[in-house]
Amino acid sequence: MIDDPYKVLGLSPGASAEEIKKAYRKKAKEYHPDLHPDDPTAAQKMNEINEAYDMLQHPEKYKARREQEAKKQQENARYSGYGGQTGYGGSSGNGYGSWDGRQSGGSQDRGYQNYGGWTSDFGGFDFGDLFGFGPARYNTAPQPQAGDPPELVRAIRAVQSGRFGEAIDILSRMTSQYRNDRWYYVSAAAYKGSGETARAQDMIERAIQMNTGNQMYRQYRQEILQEARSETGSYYSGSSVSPFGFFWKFMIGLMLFRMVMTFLQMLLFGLPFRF
Amino acid sequence: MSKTIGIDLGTTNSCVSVVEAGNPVIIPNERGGRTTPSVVAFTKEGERLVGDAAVRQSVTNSARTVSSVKRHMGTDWRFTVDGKAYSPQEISSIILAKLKKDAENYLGETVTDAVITVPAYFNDIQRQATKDAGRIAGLNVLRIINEPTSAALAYGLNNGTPQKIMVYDLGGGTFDVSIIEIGEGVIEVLATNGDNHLGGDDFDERVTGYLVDLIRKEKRIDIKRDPAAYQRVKEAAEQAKKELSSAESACILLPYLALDGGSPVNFECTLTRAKFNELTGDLVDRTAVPVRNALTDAGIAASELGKVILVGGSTRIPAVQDKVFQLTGIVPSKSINPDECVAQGAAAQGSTLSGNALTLYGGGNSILLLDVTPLSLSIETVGGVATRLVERNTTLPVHYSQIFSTAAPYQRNVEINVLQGERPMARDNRSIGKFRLNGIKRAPAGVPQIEVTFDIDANGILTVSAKDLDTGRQQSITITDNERMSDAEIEQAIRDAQQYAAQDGIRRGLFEVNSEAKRAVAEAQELLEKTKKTMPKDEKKRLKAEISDLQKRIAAEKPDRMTEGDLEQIRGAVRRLRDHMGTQPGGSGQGPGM
Repeated sequence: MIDDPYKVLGLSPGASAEEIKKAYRKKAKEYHPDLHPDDPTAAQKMNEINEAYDMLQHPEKYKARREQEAKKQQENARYSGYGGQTGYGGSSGNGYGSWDGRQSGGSQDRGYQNYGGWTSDFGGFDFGDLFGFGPARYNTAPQPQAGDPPELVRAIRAVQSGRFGEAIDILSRMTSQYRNDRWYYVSAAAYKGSGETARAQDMIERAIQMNTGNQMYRQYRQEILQEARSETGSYYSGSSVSPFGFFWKFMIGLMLFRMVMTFLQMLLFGLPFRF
Repeated sequence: MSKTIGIDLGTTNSCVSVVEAGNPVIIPNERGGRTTPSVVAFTKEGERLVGDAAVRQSVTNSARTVSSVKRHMGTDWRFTVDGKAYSPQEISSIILAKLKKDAENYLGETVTDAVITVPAYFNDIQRQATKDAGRIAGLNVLRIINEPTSAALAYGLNNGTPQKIMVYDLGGGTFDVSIIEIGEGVIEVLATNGDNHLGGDDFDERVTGYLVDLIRKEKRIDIKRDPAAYQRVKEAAEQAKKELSSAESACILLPYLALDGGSPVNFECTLTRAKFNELTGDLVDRTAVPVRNALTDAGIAASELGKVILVGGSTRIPAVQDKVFQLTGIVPSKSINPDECVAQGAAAQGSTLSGNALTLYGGGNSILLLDVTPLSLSIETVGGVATRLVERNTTLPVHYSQIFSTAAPYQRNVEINVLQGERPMARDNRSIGKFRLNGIKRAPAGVPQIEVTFDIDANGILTVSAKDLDTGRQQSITITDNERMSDAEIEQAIRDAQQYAAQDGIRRGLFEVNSEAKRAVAEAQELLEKTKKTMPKDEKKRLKAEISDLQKRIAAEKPDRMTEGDLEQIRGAVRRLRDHMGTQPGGSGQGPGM
């Protein structure tokens, strides 16, 4: 990871968006491997230039990574080794990433995961997502706020009355200067309402990137992710019943699965690891 | 140094271009056509036909004719003919080999290097399949580039004004939309989106279905049961669609379509544009979502676009043009040819990659294309979640790494499942490769540090590696997708293609030898007739023996299994007969007009 994106692009800190774009194009022409096939370092340089440009355009994406690296160095300094610690990473559970969507990774995961690495098919179901999200609860439905442009207010009204398609239309007609975290958050609500969960997730990620301190956005992300999970669930349960009916089917499936797994473990290792 | 060609390998039509004197020009095929139908046929005699020749015989040979193979790229679809199953790559390679030959005929020199275009929304496996098809055809594929980007490059060569443009590309089988920024000699893709299964073929299908229903109602016959008649209906549907782009109504005439109880069935009807729009309205509407998504990803509203460019034959449909206007509020530009600009852009990029970057119109600035990865790349993490490392629309080349840890205590290995797609859950995305990193030190969950790195070079080739930061152990990806052809399979296909090319030479030689032999036989028989009285008996007998020997050889020919030696033997027999005739008074000894 590069340290100073301004330096890579040959700019001084605080350069305007226009200056950044100009510098990027100039540097791209100087180093892109397509124009410099004989330069063995061109690809590496271009990687850095692209990263610097991306960093200036999406600073939040990199912020979490910086924090993570700083933390790592700190901890490395504090302990001579980290073999003795438990729960490295603290509250973020097993996730280090900036937006891996599994911050609340529950302890339930681990019971039957001791063979498969971090990619458990069925086992990694997150109970926290079904029952709640920690102490603070926010109303995540969009409400007009002071400072919202009139179009955004119209979009919020459309979302409130369930006219999601209309809301998306209004939002997509708003030009780039209006696309702040509020715009992305309301868009997330509109896409969630119209059933486009993947889009909704993209939108809320952007809102979080633009306004990292907003806890409500983070909670909303969890709600969207929960919906995405239940979508996937219905895919293999093969039913189109209400989410609640599905939930019980899922629980029964989970119990059966655990019974089979326990039996298999007994078969393989002679005694059950845990019940 | 030989020239690099640009190939637009389309679903229904393909086009090839090359840069001459700083300008990409279209290479005509042997019939003078500027595009070649992407159709391959296998005749009963074992000959392979490509392009117009294959289209012409498709009515009578529909079971041995393949079209729209691009729709199957990257799948396990197979086309079986004479007991051999052809993969989509192999069928595509036959088309590519033909385009290569057309280019060689045009340029008068061997061509090996090429840039091939694919829909922007093709995934990694589909791109790889296209590249493999090029290899089988004997091409060195310098780059696979995205069709809308390629079109933008062709546009940018003549229009250097800094602006944001939209490329709306509705082809024979795929739909792509890209938002592109042009400025200072750089063509930068901001966002791309699309639908891999939406195109002109779907419009044809709707009209065909309508006609089949109409024939069933009017004539009480099911035309689908008669492959030849069905093929004619399909062609009539496509023709009517094309006519409706300029006319308000199209007349469909299908005389002697089939036989019903011994009497011929004639079908006639008029299709209005209104009816056509009603049949295909939902297809046109389906383009709205990708347009909206591309604009959202680019972070702009349609009103911030400077221009909209239409690419692909299906954008000639008036309802499509109306839709584009409705979606963007901009009247689409008609300054570039929708069938040819993609190949031209590919040729321009080919020229850049072989060291001759083209310059922008009016400026001495060499042009640079900055493309993006169309789909997000992620790995599967705990709970079946797809954790993104590279987001869609990231500019290439890109290098990105992130640190992960284990989910279970004392976990000794991790499996890295590389995914492509936008869905939050792993199982909803396309898995494009898996590998395992072993030998992690025994530690509580969350302690080991594993750095996962994604590297995509300018060619779009992805390398994924995982490194255990404690032990320094490292592992990189090995693609295990079974729909991808293995190197061995590709080698085999290349050998098959070369063998076919050799066999093709023999087949052509055989054709010549045959006509020569038949002519010699005819002449000898004529000579026999003429000199019936004067020729000595034993001479006559020997001549007759030579004739029947040659006739037997012609009858025993097996075009698929003959070698150059077999051909030589027939030639020898012809020579003997001619020598023999030459010694006879009245024999010419020479074929006329050889």
